[in-house]
Amino acid sequence: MIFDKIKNTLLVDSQRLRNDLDSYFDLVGDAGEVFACLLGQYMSTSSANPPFYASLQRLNEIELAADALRRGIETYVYEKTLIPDLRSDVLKMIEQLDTLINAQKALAISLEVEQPAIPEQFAPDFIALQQSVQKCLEHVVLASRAFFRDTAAVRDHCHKVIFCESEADRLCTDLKRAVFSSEEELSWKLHMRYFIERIDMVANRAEDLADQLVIFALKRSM
Amino acid sequence: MDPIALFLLSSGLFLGWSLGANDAANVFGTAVGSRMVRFGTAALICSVFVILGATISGAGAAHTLSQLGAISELGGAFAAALAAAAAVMMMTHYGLPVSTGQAIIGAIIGWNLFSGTQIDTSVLSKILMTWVLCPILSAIVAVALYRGTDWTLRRVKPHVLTLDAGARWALIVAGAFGSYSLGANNIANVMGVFMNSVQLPLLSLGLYTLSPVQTLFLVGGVAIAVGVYTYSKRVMLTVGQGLMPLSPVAAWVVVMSHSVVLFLFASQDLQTFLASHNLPTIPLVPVSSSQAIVGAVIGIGLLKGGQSINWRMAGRITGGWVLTPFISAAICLACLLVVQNVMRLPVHEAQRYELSEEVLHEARRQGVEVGALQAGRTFERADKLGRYLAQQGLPDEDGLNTLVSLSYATPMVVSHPEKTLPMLSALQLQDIRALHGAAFNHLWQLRQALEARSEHWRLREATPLNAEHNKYLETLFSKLYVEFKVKNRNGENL
Repeated sequence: MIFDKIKNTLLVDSQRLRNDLDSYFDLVGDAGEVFACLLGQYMSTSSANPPFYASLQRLNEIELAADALRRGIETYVYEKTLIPDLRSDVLKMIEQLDTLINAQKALAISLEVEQPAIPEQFAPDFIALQQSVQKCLEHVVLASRAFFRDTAAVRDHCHKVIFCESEADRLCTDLKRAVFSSEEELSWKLHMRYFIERIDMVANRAEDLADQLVIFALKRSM
Repeated sequence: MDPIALFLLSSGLFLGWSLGANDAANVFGTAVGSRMVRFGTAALICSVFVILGATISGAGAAHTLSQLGAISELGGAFAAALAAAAAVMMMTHYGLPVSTGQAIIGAIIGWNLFSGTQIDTSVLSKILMTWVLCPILSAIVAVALYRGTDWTLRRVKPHVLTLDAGARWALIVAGAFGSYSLGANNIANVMGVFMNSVQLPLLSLGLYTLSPVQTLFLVGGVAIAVGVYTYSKRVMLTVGQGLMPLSPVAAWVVVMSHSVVLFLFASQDLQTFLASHNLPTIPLVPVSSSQAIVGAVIGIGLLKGGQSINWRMAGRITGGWVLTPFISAAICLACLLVVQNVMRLPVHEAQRYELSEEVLHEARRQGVEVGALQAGRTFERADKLGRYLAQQGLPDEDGLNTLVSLSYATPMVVSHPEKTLPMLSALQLQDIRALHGAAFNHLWQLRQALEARSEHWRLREATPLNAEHNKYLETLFSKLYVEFKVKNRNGENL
């Protein structure tokens, strides 16, 4: 009986946490995909439409599921005293990833509520910016996964996050320049700037997490 | 066992308790401190394996300790153990890291000085050598183990959670091994001084019967276990942060290196195995678990470049190692004075050294240059005889030591060996019966008489393979000397 208890503590508990973490990373990746899809759907008609609402609903569900998993992971790690030396770093990572999902969900709601009018000539630039942000997200999720298995790979993925974030910054500046050099009203320009910066902010947060992951990986070495 | 003897044994139990309270932290400290293993689990595993190690493998290192100072009176053993325990408590109180082993060695040297007993310099130098060798060996083992583990982890790339679970298992296994080694190696520090003065009965455990020494060590092991349960938690929670921060895997390397080193210095079976394969052997000496842990941590720290080591703390620890034996010896001298003059208990046997014709003849036979030494002088203490021989211009220290040993006089009459009976073979008993009633004045005379009877009494060539046989014979002779000594009406030695 005592051996079963030890076995549970040492193997079953850690396997459950491992599954939860994997599911959480999957959700962060899914959120990025869904948001990219949602932005494309909005662009296609420049207003909220049924597929857009379906994606928004999906993003909401992802956010709820990720929140539930995050809380479960946090409680479980402390309850079972798992990875005591790394748990503060792991929980920080989880929290930061959560802010990425939240930022995308907030942006999607803003699109639905504020219905910004995005002219057709700016659509490819918005899509390019979103693709850059999406790459940042993909690599930061890969870096987070690598933290648990291969610390050397963390550095490689984080480097790619930083590269993609620079690219997103460049696209963001170009887009804002194009918006402000147009003949439209200032109120529209400010509205556009708000959305452009909100999209770019996701990449900035991913970069912040990548910087921290590099330090976490260094700390994790024996 | 009478109540006074039980009371006097209490100082050994006190020392055992303090060893459990302090040294258990070396084995499970990092694991419990980093919350990788719960205190309850650590205390249970540590207690069980300390008792097993002490009872099963404790005799190897204990023999070396009794060679340094065979304290034959319970009062002396009480004072020595009390002095060591007091030194440990005092040093701990002032925040100085302490080694129980060094405290007890210091106390024995204090007893030797008080009783005027000759200090076996070869045994003392063997022990001092291990105090230097132990941390160095531990550091080497830790570096090798760390590199090996690091290499393996880089290739296997386990998931953090798999590594975490593995590290917990490994810390528990290493802790169990460390506790066993701690019990095997350090029980000599706790109960070694009582080996010659306390006679416990055989203890039957059904399938297995414990010898009197094993029973004594079992009692000491239980005292260590009580120390682990009652006082080690606080020490465990603070240990491991002083010298250098360690990851769980590095903590495992440290505990494992400590355990390997303690095992190397305690295992009679390993010594026999190495000797039988013509490999160099390691002396069986009680070494300090604190020294082994510190050596391993510094080894890993140096491998990482040395920046993360708290050198000030390392200096304090080394200072503590140097100070402990001196403080313990000083306390032991004070305790012996009190026990002898206030409690009126004998702390050592009355000694007599006779430079008789037989002694000089035997010395010449053994190749000692005795010059123009005159027979017929007697001395009350070994140091007085030593000074006299030195004044007479005896050439070398070895010759001087041999003459002191040979001239130790204690009247003995061969009788039926009741207490030693379980250790004797049928042929050996036959030899003793043949000598029944024979009287001897010197230990070597009884020995020679028995050696002349049959080869069962003869020491074999001093090789590690014969070490166990020779150790058995030495123990047997020392028991027979005690049993055949002529006693007065009160049962005291003449």
